[in-house]
Amino acid sequence: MDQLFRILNYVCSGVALIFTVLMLLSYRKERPFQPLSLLFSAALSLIMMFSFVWLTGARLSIYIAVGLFVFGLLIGGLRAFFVKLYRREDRVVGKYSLLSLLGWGGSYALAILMNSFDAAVLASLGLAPLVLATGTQVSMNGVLFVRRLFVRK
Amino acid sequence: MAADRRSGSSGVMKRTRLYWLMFGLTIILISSIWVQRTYAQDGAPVCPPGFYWDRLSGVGCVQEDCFAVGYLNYDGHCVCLEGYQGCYEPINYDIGFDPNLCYPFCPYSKLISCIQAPAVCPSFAAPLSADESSPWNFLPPFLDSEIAQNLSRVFTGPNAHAPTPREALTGATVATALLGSWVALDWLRDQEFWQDMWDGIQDDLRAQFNKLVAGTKLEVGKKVAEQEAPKLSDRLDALAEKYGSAASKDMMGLDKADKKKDQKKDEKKVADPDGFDEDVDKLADEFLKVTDPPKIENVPQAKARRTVWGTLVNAKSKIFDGDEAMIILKELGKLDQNTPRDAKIPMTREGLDGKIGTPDGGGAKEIVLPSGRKIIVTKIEAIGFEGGGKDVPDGHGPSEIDFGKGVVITAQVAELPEKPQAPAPKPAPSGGKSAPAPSQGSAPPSGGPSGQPSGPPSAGGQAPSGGPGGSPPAGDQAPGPGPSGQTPQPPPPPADSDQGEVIEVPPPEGTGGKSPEEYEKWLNETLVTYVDPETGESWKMRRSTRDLLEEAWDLLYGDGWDPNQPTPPDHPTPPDQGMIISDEIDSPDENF
Repeated sequence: MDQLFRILNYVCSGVALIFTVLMLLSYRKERPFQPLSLLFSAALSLIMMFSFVWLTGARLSIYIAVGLFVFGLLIGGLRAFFVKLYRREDRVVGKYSLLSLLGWGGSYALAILMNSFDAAVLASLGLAPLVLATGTQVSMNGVLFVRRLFVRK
Repeated sequence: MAADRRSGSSGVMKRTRLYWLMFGLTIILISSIWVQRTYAQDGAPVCPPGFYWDRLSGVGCVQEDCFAVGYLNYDGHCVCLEGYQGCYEPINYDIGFDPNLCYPFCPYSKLISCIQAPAVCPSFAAPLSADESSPWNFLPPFLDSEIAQNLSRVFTGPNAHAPTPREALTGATVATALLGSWVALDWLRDQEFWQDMWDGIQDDLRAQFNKLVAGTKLEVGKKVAEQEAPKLSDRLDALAEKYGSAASKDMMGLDKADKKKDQKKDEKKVADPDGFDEDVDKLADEFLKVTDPPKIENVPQAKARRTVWGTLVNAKSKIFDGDEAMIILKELGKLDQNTPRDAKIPMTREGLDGKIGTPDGGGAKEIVLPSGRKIIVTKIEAIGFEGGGKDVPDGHGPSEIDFGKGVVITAQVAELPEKPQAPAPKPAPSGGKSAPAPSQGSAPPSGGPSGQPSGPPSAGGQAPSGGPGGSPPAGDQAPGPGPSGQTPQPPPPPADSDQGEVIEVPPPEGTGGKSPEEYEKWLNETLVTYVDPETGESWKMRRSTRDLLEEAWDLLYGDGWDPNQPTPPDHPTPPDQGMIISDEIDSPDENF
């Protein structure tokens, strides 16, 4: 049974990678930035990370996790300031950072994969990029949300 | 849309979709947690003989006599020292131990000895456990090294253990499901879905806030004013229902009726036996009083907004933007050639001023009146807009948009032209369209290039003066003044035929990425949809973008309007410019 679970785990990792690619395809063009969707994205990033950590039982040292998360916040916030927001036909649009999306989705695929190896250290190593990418996502969406609020129609 | 949302139908529908989505995600989460809980029960698993339960270990069931033969590695596996090979004995669950008690932490094997090559394990022992020999569990060998274990302690912190396959699968399933939901949501993330959600939440909050304020506020007058608007809307609705389908289709009917009144004021009002026009006038005045438009000094007849009712063009698609408008207006002589972007423009007869050349605008949009009626308006931001943002070098407009005290002028950029007779098989609309164009019987009556009788030239039976082939510019009616009082150049004669021809082609898409030839063609031709407010009949025609913009300019500056000498109150608002309202677009945030 465990072998079956492991196989399914690999499958999940692949599916997560496919979803990431789909997301990149969807985000490669400029998109309208809606405040609600930005908030939703940030919240979902956080929920996903905590759910994943809680359900898998994989652990990362709290000091490393906090450090990576804060570092991710800095990177994401900085990156979000360079996202151009402009109006196009009554909509505020911009182009999202594909690299951050790739990092975020890819980190999930990697973390799922690392959890399959029945090794605590590998599971922890898999969590590290996930925490970093989540911090980036949360910060980027948060900053974009604030910027979007100040874009008057 | 706002009215729909206030009524609760559209907003509720959209929100219901989100609630269902949230519900689905919650179900996924809860089910995953339940699956995990079913095997991580309250009572600790019971390990088979020779093993004990250690919740903090990776394996769960730890071999009791491990240190007699080897040592426990970082996750509780009993392993041999480096250089030794482990001999494992499989656990036999067929002899009186229920594996459900230890599931899913049941050990598969037990280390019985550590040997060195070339010694071999006893025949009953396997070199590796069945689980560890699985091709699906290929642990890198360095993980058992001391460095790896130190690294593990640093990384994992205390109380860490490797996820069991079931735990890993649970987490993977949830993460993948959420990721998939994200992607699915992203496909739903069109403008309307999220915009409606956002607007709905704002409306809800606003309603709650208003309710709170209304509960504490004692200003009777305020309440009276708040209560009057819906009454008036209801009355408008009731009137529209009463006076027939033409008026009930949209507010264009009101404009048409208003025009008809001006045209035929000396004639018997056959089409208006019940005094519909008078009622509309009274209601319009009342409406304006209720909405309390801002007062603009020095322009007595000024209104904050003006919408010329009628049919508009390519709803929701941009016709021209600020830069394009500047080019066209310079070509037309409405602006001096040296007029820079952001130059201050003269005050319109509505008392609006601003700067020329905004980053965006010109799109037509459907809005909903408080009465629930839908109309289509466009912005001529290119002409009157104040504020602006920082330009960015890529030409995409401002990176940070702050329209500040932006003034949105709404006006119709195209009047209802006479429908061409040929080759279209459809009959021409009746009423107010009896005067054909001077030289081209079916030419749409666009405003003259030099400020010929400005405003919608189709009203009042005036012969349409503008458009290609129309009269040359009249010398005594100079075009709208350029910025800073500069006298604009006389407009060149229009080069493009604005002859209407009923066609069936898709509208042009934007202006981005057009070649010079395509751009020139776009300048000369844009697809315009006209609707006869009386019959409801619609048709499409190609119009000159230049003429459309020129008409808009004439609406604002034509008819001899001099911004330096505002006409006293007796200066009449051109009768053919339709109703003046100010309510529904006073809040650009809601509508644009």
